[in-house]
Amino acid sequence: MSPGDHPSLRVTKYSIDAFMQLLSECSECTEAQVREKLHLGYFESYFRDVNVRTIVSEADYIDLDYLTDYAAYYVRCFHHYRRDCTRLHFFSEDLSQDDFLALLSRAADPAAREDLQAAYKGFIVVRPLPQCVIGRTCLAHYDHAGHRHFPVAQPYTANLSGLELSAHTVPFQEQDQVTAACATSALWSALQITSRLFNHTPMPPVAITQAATTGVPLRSRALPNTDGLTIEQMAHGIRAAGLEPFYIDARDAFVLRSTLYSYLSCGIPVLLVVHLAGSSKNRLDPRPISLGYHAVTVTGYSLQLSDLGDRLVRGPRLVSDHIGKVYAHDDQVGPHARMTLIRDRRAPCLTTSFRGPENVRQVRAYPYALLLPLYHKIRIPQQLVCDLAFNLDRALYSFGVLPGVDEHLCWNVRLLTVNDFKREVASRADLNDTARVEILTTPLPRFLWHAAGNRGNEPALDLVLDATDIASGHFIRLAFSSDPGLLRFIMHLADNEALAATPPGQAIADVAARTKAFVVSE
Amino acid sequence: MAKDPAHRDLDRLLQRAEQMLRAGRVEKRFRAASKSTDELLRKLRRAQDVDPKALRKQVTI
Repeated sequence: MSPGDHPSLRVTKYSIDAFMQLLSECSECTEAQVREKLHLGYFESYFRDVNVRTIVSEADYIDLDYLTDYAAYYVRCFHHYRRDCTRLHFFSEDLSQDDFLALLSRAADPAAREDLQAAYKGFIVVRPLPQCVIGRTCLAHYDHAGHRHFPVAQPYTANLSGLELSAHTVPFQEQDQVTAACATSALWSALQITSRLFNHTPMPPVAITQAATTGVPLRSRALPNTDGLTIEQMAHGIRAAGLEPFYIDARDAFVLRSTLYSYLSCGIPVLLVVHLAGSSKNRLDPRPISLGYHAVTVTGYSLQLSDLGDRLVRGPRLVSDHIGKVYAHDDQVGPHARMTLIRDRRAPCLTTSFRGPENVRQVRAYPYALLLPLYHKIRIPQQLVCDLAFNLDRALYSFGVLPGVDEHLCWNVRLLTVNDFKREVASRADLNDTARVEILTTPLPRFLWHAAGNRGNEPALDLVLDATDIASGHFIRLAFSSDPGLLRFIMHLADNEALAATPPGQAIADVAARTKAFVVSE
Repeated sequence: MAKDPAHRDLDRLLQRAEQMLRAGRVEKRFRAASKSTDELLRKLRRAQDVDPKALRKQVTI
């Protein structure tokens, strides 16, 4: 063996052809089959955007998820499938084999490690299978660029020959069509994140399929899983992880945007079930062609502050009305795939790179349902928080106490953990020191709803609700504001009999009565 | 004794609200704001209801 020749590690200059060749060499997939994959177009564009220059392939890599699928299915096939995978690492720096080995020899040098970490974009595990070769993939999400948000992403670390390298992402993998269909792949991505958030055991794809089909059996066989899962079975898969599935009908754009935003803010991945439909290539035939249902895991969104969504804004507004795009792990397209929210004649829909059959052009994804994997103590739904905020907004508007262009607040309704909330409060510039200390020392539950009403870019009123309480309880733990007049108006309105007797007066008095503590920042 | 600015703000807001109430504008504004508010709240409530039609329809993913 020559000095630079290490069979387990190979450094390749990046090009899409080189990537394709590696996918083919490391699996049982031919180059022609790799070329046909829809993922390739996605990866080419992603690697260009994040400026990938080098691929380091790590042979004989044991991947737990693949190994579990292998033990449950592939090992019992007559054909001899390999049990080891290849992991491809991506760097945005030009590196030769010698450069990389030299870096390894300086692995103890923090500067060398930092340089390599700065250039690290993540990894793809290549499964040694005939077609569905994209295994566990942890590629860094796109830059924020001021408008993209990936609150669900977490740091995932790879140990490459002793070098610890991490990428901020949500794990992704392609369905293998044997142990997992797209519903399983979407669930797998979501449960990878919730296992860290809520401390449950992460489940490999085959375990998800088995758990989902145990309580709610399929009409046909579960493995190979060619029929996919029903929404009830997906919900059962979530229960198997020890979480509660929360179902939301997502056929309305306002509901879709507000629900996604509220729960993603807490780092909770959201499963989105869409109906795929395309139009016929025959322009004389206007009928939409249904391509069935599909599930993706939403990992982020883009806020376009100039865009006010599809609804004419006259009334209470939400920050989530500005969501123009969502980013989702679509196992048929790729990780963090961009889906733009548009409105066609029938319903709100999302653009997708999903490719239909020959006779179909322009496939669109029509949101159907959202499935949220929630920790059992997150009990108060977002709808109750919006109910409270919107009723208060309407009442304040009625009394003319919200001066401004449209005299309504723009509400930022988010589920947060107490730690994240207090971290935000610690850095709020609009609160004085006394108020800040009072809020920071108030005992609060682990999960809370934060409804922040803003006037333009200025915070006007903040409500903090106990997400673990019961709907009929006094779940407003805290109301605070740097507008003393506004907060005192809410606190003391009940003392004014004439005002309190009106419907808006009753709404304000109800909020005041259900609030445990008021903090005024003078 | 002179009131502090925060209490002056509260008095100003209460006076304004009382004036609007006497002028019949509170009810009018409440009705005007109710249309959009109720519609949004109805959408959110309905989204959580299990639609019997959706239950009958077996969606496979």
